[in-house]
Order: sequence, then C-alpha cells, then structure tokens
Amino acid sequence: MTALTLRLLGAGLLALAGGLLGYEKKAELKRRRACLRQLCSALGRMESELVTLQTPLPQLLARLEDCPFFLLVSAGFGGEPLERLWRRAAEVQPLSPADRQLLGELGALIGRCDAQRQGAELALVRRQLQEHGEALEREIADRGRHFAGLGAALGAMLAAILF
Amino acid sequence: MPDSFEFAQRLLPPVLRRATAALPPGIRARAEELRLRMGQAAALRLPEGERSLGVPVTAELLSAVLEAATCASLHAVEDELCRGFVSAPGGVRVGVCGTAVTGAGRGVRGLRDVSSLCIRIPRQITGAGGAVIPALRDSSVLILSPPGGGKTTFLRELVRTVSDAGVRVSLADERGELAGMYGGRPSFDLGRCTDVLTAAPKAEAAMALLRSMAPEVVAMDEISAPEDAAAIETLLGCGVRIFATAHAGSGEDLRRRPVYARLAAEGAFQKLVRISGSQPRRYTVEAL
Repeated sequence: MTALTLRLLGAGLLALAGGLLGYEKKAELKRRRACLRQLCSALGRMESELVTLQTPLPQLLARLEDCPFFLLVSAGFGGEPLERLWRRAAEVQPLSPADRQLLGELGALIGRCDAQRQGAELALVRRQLQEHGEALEREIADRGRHFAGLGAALGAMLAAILF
Repeated sequence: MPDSFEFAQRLLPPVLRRATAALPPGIRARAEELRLRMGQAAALRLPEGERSLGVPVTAELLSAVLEAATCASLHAVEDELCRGFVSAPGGVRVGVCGTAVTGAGRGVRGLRDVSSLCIRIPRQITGAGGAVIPALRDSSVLILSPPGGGKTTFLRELVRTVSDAGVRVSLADERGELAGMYGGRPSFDLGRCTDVLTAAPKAEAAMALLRSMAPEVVAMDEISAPEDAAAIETLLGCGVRIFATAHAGSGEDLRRRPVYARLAAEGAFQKLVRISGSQPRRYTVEAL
C-alpha cells in the first residue's frame, strides 16, 4: 500500500469520524427532546393528581413510572431524603445543565407544602421545560440534518490540514 | 410486626435512630413520647419525666421526621396538619407545632416554620384498669383524664375485653391511634369481634359502621365536636352502646362544656371512668 493510499484512507476515516460525531450530536438533541416531552407529560399528570386528588407521593410516583426520571425517584423512594434523591435523578437525565437544574430544584418543594403551591411550581417548571423543548424542536428541524455534513466537512478539513 | 417503638423509630433520621437503638429495652418499653424541639436536645418522655438523647434538634432533622411521617406527602395530610398532628403507621401520632397560616374565615390553613414535634408512642397495657372493666360491660362509657392520662390505652383494653367476650365492637379510629392499622391488620390486640374503620372523621365513620357492621358497641377516641355528639345520639337511638373518651379532669369539668353537657343531659352515658395518677394509674367509676 502506497503512502498516498494510506493518506487517502486516513483522510476518509477523519471525514467519517467527523460525520459520526455530527450524527451523535443530532441523536443527542433527539434524546433531549424525547426526555423533555416525557417529563412535561409526567409533570402535567403529577400536577393534576396533586391538585385535584392530593394523591400521596408513593402512589403518585408509581403511576408516573413510565417516565424514566420518575422510575428512578420511585425506585429510591424512602431510602434517603426525597430532595437528594430527586436532585440525583435529575442529574442523570439527558438534558442540558440548565434544564437539569430547573428540574432538580423542584425536589426542594415536592411533598413539603400544600398541593396548590406544589401544583403552581410544577406548572411553572413544566412550562419552562416545554419552551425549551420547542426551542430544541426548532433547532433540530433547522440544523439537525446539517450536523452530519458539518461533521464530515470538519473531518475533511482536518485531514487537509494534517496531510 | 414491628412494635410501637420500632414504628416510631422508622420516622427518625439515622443519627436519632442510632441514639434510640442504644437505649436499654426497659427504657424503650416505658417510652411514651419522643419530643423534638428546635435548638434543644431530642428527648424521650418516660412516666417519670424526660430523658435527653443528646442529639441536637435542627430544622433539617424536623423536616426529615415530617417527611418520613407523611411519606413526603404533606399535601395529602393537610387537614390533619391543620388540626396539629399527622398520623403515621403503627398508631404513632406526630404532634406538630410551628407558625399557623390562617385565612379569612377559614381558620388554620396550614403550618410553616415547624418548631416542635411530639412523636407519641402508643402502648397496649393488657390488664390496664382490669378491675373496673366488668362493671362497664353493659353500659355506654365515657372515659375521662387530662391529656396523656391513659384514656386511649384504657379504651383499647375495654374494647379488647368486651370484644373477646363475643360482643361486636366497631372502632371509629379517626387518627389511627387506637388500632394502629398496618397493612390491614391492627398493631394492637383489639379482641376477636372488633371491626376498625380508620382515618374517616368520627361522626361519618360511626354512621358508616352502623350501616355496614351491625355493631353492638361503637368505640371512638376523644369526642369533641357537635357532629360527634350528634352521631352518638343517632347510635344510641339505634340501640348501640358507646365507648368514648374525652379530655377532662372530672365530671364537673365535663358538664361545663356544651357538647358534653348536652350528652349528659340526654343520659347518653351511664358510666364515667375517671383516670388519675401516673404510675400506677387509678380508675374511678361513677354513674352519670
């Protein structure tokens, strides 16, 4: 194999790696979008149950286990203070740092005050997450398909510079 | 099934759980309450007085206990909390002090800045007041004592004895303290013919029990509201006997309060049991 062939192969691999990074970025945005959708839906149901039925948290968490965040909280419920558990579960969600913080801060309030106040806070956080989800949606629609191409182009540029 | 002290321990954060676990069994068996006052050391109340547990009470500690007592669901116990207590599993009752939140014409709507908790540990003392119980079996009975005087313990024993004698007893256990229901089973021996309705307001529970359980006796703790008195009148009109308790030092104290004065005037109770003293307690039966 000649040196030129090796260089071409290396350049191709760099372009491919760049393209894969672009795909991964797009996939990450989609995971965030899916997580935000699930969370908004679950927080909405939680708000409604709290305000109208004042359902105790253990039952409420069990009903929301279709959302991975609530599955985590429900699994650890009772073993440690709820606030800590809630924050830890928020930290491992595929969300932006700002959204994780927004969700995590709810833990200081859940189960600690009357249903109306919890409902109001849940509604506020849900609205904010929903807005972030809509912004993300637009970002994916506008730039999602460019990520792979952009990644491959960056890889090709890097190959050109190196070789 | 865990005993009452263990149920109370489950509400405590690890530091306090360790302190109570180190107590000798004799002390645990006599413990009446755990008192947690912000800024003070946690204390165990025994018949002879309070004993420090050496653990300082902080806002975080109070919050952790309240979270455990309510299963992190303060919203689900708002009504109880407005009346100053929260019921926890095993018949344990947590009294709560703090700053009351009031609303125009709506009384207390909530509590914030919790400053003290009193975890009451229920006890079954088999044979408590055993000498006077035979004289009470065929009567409607009102049990009197000041707070913490042993009314609930005696009522539980009266229910057990009468129920084991084959009388159908229905228990309207609003605060869950009498029976300490846990997973559908009472934490205390209430006799073989006792049915328990937990957590419903006493007056509503009494009517539901009358309709569904055909009781010969209905037992309820701490009657205090006009609705409770009205329910008692209905039950008596249906030929059901009543075992109930009330906060009062004497029959005279009782007659000064409108709810009881009305019941006394109607002859609702034939016997009055007055509990006095601490260790040992004295049980005095009077005719009403």
